[in-house]
Amino acid sequence: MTQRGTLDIVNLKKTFNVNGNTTPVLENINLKVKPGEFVSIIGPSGCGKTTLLRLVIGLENSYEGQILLDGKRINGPGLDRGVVFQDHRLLPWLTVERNVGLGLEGKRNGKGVNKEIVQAHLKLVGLQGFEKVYPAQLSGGMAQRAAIARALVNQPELLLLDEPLGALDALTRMYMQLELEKIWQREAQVTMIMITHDVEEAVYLSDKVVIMSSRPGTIKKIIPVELPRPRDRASYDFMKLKEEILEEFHLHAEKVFSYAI
Amino acid sequence: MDVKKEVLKLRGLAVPLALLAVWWIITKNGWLSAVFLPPPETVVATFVKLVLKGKIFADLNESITKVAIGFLAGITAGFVLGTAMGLSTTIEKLFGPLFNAVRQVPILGWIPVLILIFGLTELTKIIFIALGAFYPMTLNTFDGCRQLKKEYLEVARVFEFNRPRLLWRFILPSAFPSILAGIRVSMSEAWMLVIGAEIFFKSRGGIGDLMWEAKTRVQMDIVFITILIIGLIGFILNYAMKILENRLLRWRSSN
Repeated sequence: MTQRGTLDIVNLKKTFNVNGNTTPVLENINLKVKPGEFVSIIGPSGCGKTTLLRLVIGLENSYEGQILLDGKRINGPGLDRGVVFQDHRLLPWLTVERNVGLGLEGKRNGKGVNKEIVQAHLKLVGLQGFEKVYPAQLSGGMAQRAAIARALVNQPELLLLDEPLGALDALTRMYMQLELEKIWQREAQVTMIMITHDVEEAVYLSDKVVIMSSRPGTIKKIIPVELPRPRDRASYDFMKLKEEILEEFHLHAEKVFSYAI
Repeated sequence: MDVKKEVLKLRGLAVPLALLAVWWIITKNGWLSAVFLPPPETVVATFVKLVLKGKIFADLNESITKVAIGFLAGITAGFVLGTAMGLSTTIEKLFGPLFNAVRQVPILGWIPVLILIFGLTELTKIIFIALGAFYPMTLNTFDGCRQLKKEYLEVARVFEFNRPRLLWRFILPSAFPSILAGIRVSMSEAWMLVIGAEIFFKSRGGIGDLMWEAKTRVQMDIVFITILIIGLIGFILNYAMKILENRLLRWRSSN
């Protein structure tokens, strides 16, 4: 019996057809994500990390191997998975409240119940008071909060985040990382998988960092992050882990011998 | 500061007022015969007379009623065809080429056909007007329905939206700006065509008829008045639609 929110990727292979040629995009991907875990996937552009996420979302179909959510093969999108895209993708013609409630519209909960759920999620992301505002009036960070609320409203088992903070400025991004951690802690049963470019973000938020390499996309290394939370970005262990990941991309600083005389 | 802004808003009146002055100077000096260019004060006096007689209101009512019916029929048909072609490639493939071919025939080109089939009836005029409203509405609705970005379609898929909800929540709202523009253009078109309809399909009553009769009797002042009224009403309709559009599309602006 697998527990709710378990993701199992077994021998996944994905190819794209470009002008009659088959190009492998993902090969030999094996990943196990435990319920409630926060996993980051990091890798250079074109390593197939977005394709991997889209496969888990169900927006890309036809793959070899297995992608199992709670032991069941993923076949197309479903409400058991919430999605936050890099561009918030809030519908510009709906107010924040309506956008967040989008996933509840099909459910026969009754208006009062749905409204309460929406309110609770607006509170979770700190957007109370912005119910009647249109997305065009929100800042980038606020729009992304609304998008997170929208993705959580159906109580998904899995929250899939595709570079959710990538489009934000550096300060807003750090602030949103704190917020995202809080949300993850409060929604304890939700498993989160995030694509990111940002090594520090990955170390700050994740239980596990998956490093990918490209052409074809494979998992190079999985690094567990066992630092206690809340994490201190300036601590020695944090820096060391960051360095270790950067080393995988050959981006670490050259170590220069220094002499103290 | 605010006063300056208010004054600047009235810039649009400068050229018409200048033209009015030129008109007045020409007639005052008798440079043109009053038969061709009646002086402004004569036009105003005739207008007052027409208003007092009251028939002009009946004429206006006649024209506006015809426009309203033809316009509503035209935009309804245009909305249905535009949406159908926008949503279904099969329907687009079936009707698109025919629509685009027929569209090339100027509306005036349909006059003989309409007269021969329907005669000089009210129905003929309404069909004529409806046809004019139909084309821009169809095109705008069709374009609008095709405007939904792939990214939003993915959001709909993630939330497992079915076709009706996809249409209601995603496709129609994203097409709405385009549809409203279609309504505005169709309205202008319908209003212009009612004058044509009343002239070509011999009408009794209507602002176009009033104009044509005045031409027959060489009453240039009445011709002027009808032109001014037609222009003014067209302007007001267009302006009102613009205001309505801004109201309904508040979500597009960021302030």
